[in-house]
Amino acid sequence: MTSIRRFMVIVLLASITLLNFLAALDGYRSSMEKSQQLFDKQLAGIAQLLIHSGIDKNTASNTENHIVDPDAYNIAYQIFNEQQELLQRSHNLPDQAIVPLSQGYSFKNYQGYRWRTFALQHRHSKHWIIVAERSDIRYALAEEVVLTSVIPIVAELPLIGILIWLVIGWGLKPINRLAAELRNKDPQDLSPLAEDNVVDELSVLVESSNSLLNRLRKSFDRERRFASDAAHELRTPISALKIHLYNLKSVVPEDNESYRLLDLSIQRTSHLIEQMLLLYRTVPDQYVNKFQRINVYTLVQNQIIELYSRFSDKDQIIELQGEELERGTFDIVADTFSLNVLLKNLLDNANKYTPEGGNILLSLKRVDKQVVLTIDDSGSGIDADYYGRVFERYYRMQDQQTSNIIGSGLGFSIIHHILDLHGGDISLEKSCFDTGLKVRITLPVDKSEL
Amino acid sequence: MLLTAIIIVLREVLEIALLTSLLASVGKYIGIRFHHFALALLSGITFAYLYAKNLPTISELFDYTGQEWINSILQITIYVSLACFIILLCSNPHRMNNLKRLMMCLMLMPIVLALTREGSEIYIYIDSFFHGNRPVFPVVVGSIIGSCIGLSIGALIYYALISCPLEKRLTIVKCALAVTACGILSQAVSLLLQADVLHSYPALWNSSEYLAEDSAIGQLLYAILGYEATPAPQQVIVYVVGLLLIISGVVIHKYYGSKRAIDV
Repeated sequence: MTSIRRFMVIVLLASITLLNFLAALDGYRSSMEKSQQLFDKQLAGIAQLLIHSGIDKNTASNTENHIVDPDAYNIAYQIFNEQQELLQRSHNLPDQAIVPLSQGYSFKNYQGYRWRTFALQHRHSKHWIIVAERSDIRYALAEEVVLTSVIPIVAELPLIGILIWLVIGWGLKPINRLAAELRNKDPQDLSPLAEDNVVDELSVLVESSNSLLNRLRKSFDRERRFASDAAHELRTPISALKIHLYNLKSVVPEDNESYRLLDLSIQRTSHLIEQMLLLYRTVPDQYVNKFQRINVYTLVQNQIIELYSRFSDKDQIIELQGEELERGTFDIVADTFSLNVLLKNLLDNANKYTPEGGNILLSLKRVDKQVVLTIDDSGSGIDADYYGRVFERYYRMQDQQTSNIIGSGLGFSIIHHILDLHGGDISLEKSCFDTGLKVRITLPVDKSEL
Repeated sequence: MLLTAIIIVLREVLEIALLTSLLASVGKYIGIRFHHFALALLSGITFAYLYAKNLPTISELFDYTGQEWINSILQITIYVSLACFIILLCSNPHRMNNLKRLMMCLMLMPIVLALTREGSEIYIYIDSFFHGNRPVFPVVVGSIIGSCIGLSIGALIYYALISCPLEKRLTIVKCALAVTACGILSQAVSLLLQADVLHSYPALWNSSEYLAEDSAIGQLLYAILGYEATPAPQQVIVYVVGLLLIISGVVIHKYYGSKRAIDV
């Protein structure tokens, strides 16, 4: 079942139709039977009327004027004397008795029609009268009368359908209202649902939802506290380690292997902690964003400037393409902090995985209502089969070229979270250079217009 | 007139409605969407109109038995499609995934063909009143009542079926489709008897005294089981053979299906 309303309308309408029509059919059958009985009575009445009117006494047998041409084409009669000689008949019946002369009703097929007949013998004159009526005509007449009572049942059906549709829609309003309230709820809004004016059937659902929201809120609060506590508790020992490492530098020779490995491990741990905290902070469900109009080109420029020393340390050539032909071309409604984190991660990746003296090309363009940023590097790249895997948390490429690079395997997960926040998209492909990776980021100009 | 129209239209509509509701109730399992059914129904209506319009020419074929021949071929095709559908419906869900396209064809073909046949009969019946001197109004009212009763029964059966758990529903649908298919096959034989293609023998029994074919229950049983009060011996034989063929098909398919699974 995909829709309660459709289910109820169809089932109710089908049940009503079935019962109504079967009742109408039964009514039609009994009405037709009753009307046939009435026609029979009428036929007997005509026979009685004719025989007692003395019509038979004015006519002698074998005379020319015994054929009468009445206007009623569906009623016919025959009058016979005691010797069964025809005294009079209507033009539409033969000279011979249409049915055997015995009192009562019977049927007879004559001249392509079925006739209902009634025969009666006069008590004193012993004359016979047969009155006949065409069955098809009396059936059609009866049907015409009975149909008038059936038609309203057929005609009311669309009205009943509309009525059921409206009534069910009205009855389902509280559900729709609740659904709308849930739909319009902001992802960060974990406040309880309104419990006033809730129908009995939905009160359990509302109570359970509120209880769930309450548990969620508490859980998120706990996580938030954990994040800030973890940031503080983990950063402090790392800072202490860094100081001790600096002090150690004056005691041990610079090329000491253990010193070098310790330095690398501290850098890696520090990076991992920073990335973990960022990953947590950018989860769309929990992120408290501040969306505002920003210029992506300026943002990218600033990030390049901020990280420029890293590129120059490796003699890498970094270039930004994309001219802002008219003011506001690269303006989007976004959260500055998270977008900076996204760009920093992308540039950081490009810097790390591009060899010394390599190229990094950033390009920005506007496509309809989207800003597209591509970052091409001349690094070793990623095999196309692994494109999907790099978005998995803690996934890192295992090859010789990248094993010494400091990384947490969380960069692309963070980027993914931020793009979810902005309704954006990411795709990976081959770089425009001979080797390397192209990362394509699509950001809508305004997420609310999607 | 009204009663006759109801019986004739109900007989035809009920058959299509039952077939459609039985198939639609497992449609989601096969991956068939509403628009597939809508397309099948539309095609059926179009073919029914074309068939009815060309019936005078078709009737003259094969020594004036063209209509009976075509109708019986349609019925046999419906039986074959339904039989294959029932057999393949017994496949495991994994294999079913690979058979979806074939299942879709086997499912929609009977609807299109049944609608072509039954729809053309309804069209011819109603149309004859518009070209004669007989009153049309009772026929129109009767047709509406007959159609609505048939469609209502179909809708109620559909919703009753989809409220059942999938496994139970599949069993019910397979059994119901098997008897419906055999009823349709028996109708094909009845048409060949009418065309004197098969030699007529006296009816095996006459149950009209206990259950008349034109009664409401008689109509329902006609649509589900192909009930006839006075069946010819060939009809009964074909019915039983048709049923045995489906059962054998299901058994063989299950046996080879499980064997293949073990081999793999």
